[in-house]
Amino acid sequence: MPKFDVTRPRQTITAGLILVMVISQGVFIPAWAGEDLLSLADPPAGWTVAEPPRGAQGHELFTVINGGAELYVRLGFARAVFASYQNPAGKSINLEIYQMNSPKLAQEVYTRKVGDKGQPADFGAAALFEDYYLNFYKGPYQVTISGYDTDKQTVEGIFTLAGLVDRRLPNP
Amino acid sequence: MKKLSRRSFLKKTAAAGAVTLAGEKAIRSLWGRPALLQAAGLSDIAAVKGRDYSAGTRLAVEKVGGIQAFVRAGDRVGLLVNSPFKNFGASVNPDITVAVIKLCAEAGAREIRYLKDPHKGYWGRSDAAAKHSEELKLVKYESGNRREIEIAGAVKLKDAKVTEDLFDCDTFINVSIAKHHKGVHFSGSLKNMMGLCPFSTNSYFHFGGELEFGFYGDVDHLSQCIADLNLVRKPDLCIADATVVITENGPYGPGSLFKPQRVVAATNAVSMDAYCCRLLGHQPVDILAIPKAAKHNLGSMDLDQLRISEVEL
Repeated sequence: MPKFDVTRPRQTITAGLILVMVISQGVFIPAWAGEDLLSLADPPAGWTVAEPPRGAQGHELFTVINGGAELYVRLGFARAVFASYQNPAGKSINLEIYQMNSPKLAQEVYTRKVGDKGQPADFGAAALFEDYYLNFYKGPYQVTISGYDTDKQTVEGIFTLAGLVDRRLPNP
Repeated sequence: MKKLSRRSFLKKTAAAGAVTLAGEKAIRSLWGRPALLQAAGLSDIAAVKGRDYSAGTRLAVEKVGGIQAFVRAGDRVGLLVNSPFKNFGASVNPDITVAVIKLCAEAGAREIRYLKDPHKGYWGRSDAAAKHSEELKLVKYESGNRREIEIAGAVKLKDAKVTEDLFDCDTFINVSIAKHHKGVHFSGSLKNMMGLCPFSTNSYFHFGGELEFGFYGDVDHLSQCIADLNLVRKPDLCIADATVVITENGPYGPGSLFKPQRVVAATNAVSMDAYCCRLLGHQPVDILAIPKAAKHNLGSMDLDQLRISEVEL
């Protein structure tokens, strides 16, 4: 095999082109390792996992949330995790964490998802609580937490989980 | 609330002199004939308002003919329940599904099968499900087998893959939720049929159009495919959950809730959707799948020509 000599322009240029081609084929992009995202979904105290955390990335999101995926995929979505929790009283809450391709896109998703009613809450960069569900975003992450009623226990569970997830998410 | 027994129903109708009845076939012959339905005390569409969704389901079915008009003893029943979404107001309330299953069992069905399995955790939200857990265990899950079929009379969806179980049941009951849908604005009985198809078929609904690319890029195409899919098999009975439903971010939610607190029964999906979409502020003509399905002769969207019963528990 001929020795590579950086002082020879043709070899350097060729090596550079090969490197660009390899990178563009995604060889250096790591496969989705969802463990870091899944670890964000550990249950809050007093709640147990009703359904184990499940991940999705890219167009796979359509098979998980059907047409609900349109907004995320269209804007630029990387991956997501879903989980459900239950407390001893039988209350249930659901967690959805979406990692968008940039903080700006997470903000865009958040803005489109929230209604014009609801109360602001102190999570992430912005948060809104509406009856039985809460949305917020932080960095490239958009988070939705929802229950099945507006009972005090459910609402407390939603807020507790939101606080936990907010603390676990990396600061932008 | 007075229950109408089969014997008193027959007596009442004979006394009215409307028709000579011969059981379920005679009841079915009344649908779409408001005057005769009225004389028989029945309706094409029945909406029951109240917070007891189980009782509401039973009364709604009674008012369109009673479960015996749809399920005969020994029948295999296929249930298509819109239950894949976890969020509140996005899937059929489990209490309604339990009521339908119990009605079928009481009518003597020998098999009840989901045509699409409910999502994991679905039954956990229902006290009625907890009370009837033994009966629910008898309901079979979808087989997972699919049949590739050509759809005669279709405009766009010339062929599709559909769950094999649809063709193996004697009675098909469509149990939907009347809710917001981001793409087609309203999702009800007609759209619920997409639950019979795998993602590969449903992808054509969303991406097979000619307009702007996107999941909801070509709403006309999507609506036509929904109408075409309904040609595969008409449900024998339609039940709609119009109790607590999302009015935004459909089909998945979560979103603002609207609470009409109604359970609705109807004898076809077109009339059902024409009635239910109005509860959410739409006109039937504006929900494209409805006129397209009406054009396929799958039911009437002209509510003025139908007998509609609206009662409160």
